[in-house]
Amino acid sequence: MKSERKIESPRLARSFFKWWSQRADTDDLLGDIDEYFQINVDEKGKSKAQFIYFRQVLSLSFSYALKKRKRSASYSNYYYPKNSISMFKNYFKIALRNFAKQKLFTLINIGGLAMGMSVSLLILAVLNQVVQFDDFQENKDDIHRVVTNVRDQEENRTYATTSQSIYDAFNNDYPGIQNLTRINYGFDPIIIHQDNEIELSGVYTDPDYFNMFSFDLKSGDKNTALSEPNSIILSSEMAIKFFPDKNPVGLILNSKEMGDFKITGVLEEHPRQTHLKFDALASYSSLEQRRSISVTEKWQIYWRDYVYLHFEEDKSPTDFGAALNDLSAKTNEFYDDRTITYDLQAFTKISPGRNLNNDNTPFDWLMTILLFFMGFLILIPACFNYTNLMIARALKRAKEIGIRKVVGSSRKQIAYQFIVEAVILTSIALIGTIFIFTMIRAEFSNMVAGSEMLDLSLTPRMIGWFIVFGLLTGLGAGVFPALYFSKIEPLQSLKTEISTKSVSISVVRKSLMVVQFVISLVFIIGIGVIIKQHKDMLSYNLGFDKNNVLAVPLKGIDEQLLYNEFSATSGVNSISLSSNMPGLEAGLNWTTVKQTDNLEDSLLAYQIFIDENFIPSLGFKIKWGENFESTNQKTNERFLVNEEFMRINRIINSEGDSLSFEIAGQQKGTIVGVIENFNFMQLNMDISPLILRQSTEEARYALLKVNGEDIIRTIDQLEKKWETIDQDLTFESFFLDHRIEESYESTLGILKIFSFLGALSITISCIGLLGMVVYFTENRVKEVAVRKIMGASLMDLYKVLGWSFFRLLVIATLIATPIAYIFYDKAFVNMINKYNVGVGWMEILLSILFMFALGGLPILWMVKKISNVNPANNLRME
Amino acid sequence: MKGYLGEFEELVLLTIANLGEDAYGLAILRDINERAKRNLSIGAIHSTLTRLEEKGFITSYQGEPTKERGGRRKRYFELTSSAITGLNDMKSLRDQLWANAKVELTLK
Repeated sequence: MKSERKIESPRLARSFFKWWSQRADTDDLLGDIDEYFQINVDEKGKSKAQFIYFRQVLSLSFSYALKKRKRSASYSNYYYPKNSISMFKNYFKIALRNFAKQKLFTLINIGGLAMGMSVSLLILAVLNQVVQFDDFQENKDDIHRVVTNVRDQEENRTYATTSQSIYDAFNNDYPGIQNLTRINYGFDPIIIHQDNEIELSGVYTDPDYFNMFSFDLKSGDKNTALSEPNSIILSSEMAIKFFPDKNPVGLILNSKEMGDFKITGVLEEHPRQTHLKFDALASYSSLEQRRSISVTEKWQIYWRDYVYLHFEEDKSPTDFGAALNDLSAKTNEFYDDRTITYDLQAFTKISPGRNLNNDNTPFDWLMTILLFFMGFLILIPACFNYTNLMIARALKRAKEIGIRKVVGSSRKQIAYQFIVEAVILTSIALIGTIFIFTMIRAEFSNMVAGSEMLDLSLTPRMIGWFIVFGLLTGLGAGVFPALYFSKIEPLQSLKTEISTKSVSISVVRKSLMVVQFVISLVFIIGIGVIIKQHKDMLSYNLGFDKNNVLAVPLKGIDEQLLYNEFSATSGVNSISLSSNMPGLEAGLNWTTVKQTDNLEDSLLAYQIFIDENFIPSLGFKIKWGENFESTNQKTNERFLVNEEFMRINRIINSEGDSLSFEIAGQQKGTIVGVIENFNFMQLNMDISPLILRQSTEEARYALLKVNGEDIIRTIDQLEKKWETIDQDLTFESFFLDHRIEESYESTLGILKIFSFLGALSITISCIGLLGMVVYFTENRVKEVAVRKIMGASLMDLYKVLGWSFFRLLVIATLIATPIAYIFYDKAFVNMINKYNVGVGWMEILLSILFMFALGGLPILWMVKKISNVNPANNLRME
Repeated sequence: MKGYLGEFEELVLLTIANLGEDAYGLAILRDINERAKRNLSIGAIHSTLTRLEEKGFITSYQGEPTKERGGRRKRYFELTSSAITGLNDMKSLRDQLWANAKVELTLK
């Protein structure tokens, strides 16, 4: 060789080749390519030679030569196929025999895995539906939704909705659109039908709706059904509900507050998996007739209407970029405090899609990922159990494996055997899981938002998914035991007696156990925290007196007559009228408020309408100024605001600032008083700017402060008086505090989820612990016998044996408590209650005690069992 | 002899015959690449050698470790009698075809 320093061939390629060839003899092949490399270095230079080297390694790796050598190397003298059917049959048989021999372990494993997989199965079922969303829409690839990006000082957010002007603009000014539809979810009439009140949740939309989306009409004409104002199309379910045995087209439905509607069509049944969910479609013109919107509002209000565009076939979203920029520029002329831009969102990316404000689909990616995570948290401990228990049985099976290895099993074959075993076990568990699944399906879907769009019945496709999932779980659970067992040294396992060292539980298994209990404890603390928060929310001081307040919906009755009649009733202390029930969210509406001196700056505020008795009757505190007088001026309305309104409206700082405002662009008014902040919405909402205006015409409820004695008689009297005023309307009443309590039932829903997951998680963990404990007992009988003979007391035994498990629970507690505290205190509690006092130590302590009580049971049981046996029996047993 | 002898296989066998005592993988490759102006990879040549060995046309033995190959052995290949028969059959078949050709095959 002429070069003095020999250049080495690329190490990476060489070691890859060695690894790839496994045990095949490749000495000569390596020699060949190395020699070739040296020749090439001399002739063509180093980098070229390296390149050629890589190519040669690749060509050799996939060559017949290597394949053949690998094959003959793995089966010494003769050829037989890898793990043939008969081998698998053998694994199957051995697995079943092992299951039958170890009945308790098998039961524990099947039970644990079945429970662990149940949640994942539910989530899989939901996911299976979510990915199919809107698949049946024929035009799905050409439809886009206009979304609105809003940027102000505080944050950037994207709304799924957009302003009406966008619709108008695309309707008139920009070509290239086949169909164009607005969807407005404000259509919620209460239909009076055969003395029943039925609430519809529907949408207002345009006639193009049917050209765009693949919904068919059972009866009625697609093209004209939505052209007239006040015409509605019923979904097939609603049509059956209202008119079970006749075609309703042409009939009239009477609603309570929104007038009459003519039924112009009935929808054909369609797949449930669509984010366009409605009971009824009403013509958009009915909305326009009911409520006229100023041009300014058309540009400003971007949180009400969804606008869908159906492009002409040769158009793509990029063709409309310029149009959207134009529109954004125009919109921004109407806003000073925020910048607005528009984007297009492909129809297929809506559900599941990004997490948008005001979205009309509950299925965004974030929630999907969260669901997945939840399923995982339950599934993982169940797999740990399996791994743990399998490895615990290593002692019993070491000999079996030793013999197999001596007879000539390769590591791979042993590993296959254990994977097959795990897969068989999970398959059995899967049957149990599907059983659990069908039982909890209904309950679970009630807890998930948007469940009415889901169909969780078992379809062949779903069962296919389940089976794949079961196989994967089996594979996942079996991998570790397989690796572990295939590593067993045959000689050692056959020769040695059970050494004391192998009886102790390895660190890995201990940590798996700790992880399980950490997860369980986090869930259990969650349950404690939610119960506490729920109690707190109900007893929270909302800023007014909600007790003994009887609310009577007015239903359009003459409020002045009612007022006079009711105030004369015994048991009624005071009576006030209001458009909303404080403490509840229902029906608050926004309005814009501008300071008269500074018309540029407008503020969005909620408004409620009350009478002059509202403030004293419910015990609101006036911080500054005075309450309404009995009459209000029309020209310069006097109104009250809350503290938050004053805080947000920073302009009013100095004495000189005027208190004159302009409400909704027309009504002039002056602030006469400031009310101490109170929670007029649920506690998961921040207190927002609020204006209180005096108007009995807008009132929808009479709020009666009653004294606590003999409420039934009072209500009876009220009902009689109601009937003297109007016999057609039925009297209805409820207590405000009850209604507020009911509104927090969503928290109870979360509690239900947590209880369910917590119960599953702790059961799985305890099952795992039980398995470990049983194994432990079986292997330490002799030790205990010796200890007892040497004079160990019962107490000593408890200490020695119990502590090793008890310690795990202690470690789990030390890890879980800070995690749970940080998670619940900093993030979780704020979601359900903005006005919380944080997580207290009481609920954490109780949760920990609960876990110790449950986890302690198997430990105590085991120690008791093992130490009660006569030591002589144990020692003799051989 | 069972097994059909392909054109490339024939080429490899003849090269082995040409190289005599020194017929190992890389030498065969380089010889063919040079003579036949081909650009074959080591993988391709070894696959063919393996197949020839399976069919019983060649046998192989390992040489002594050599220094220039980093102590790795060479695998030498030898023709078997069936290879020689096969090559001869091939040659006579060709000669016959050449002799009987109705078209003038000599290059002008």
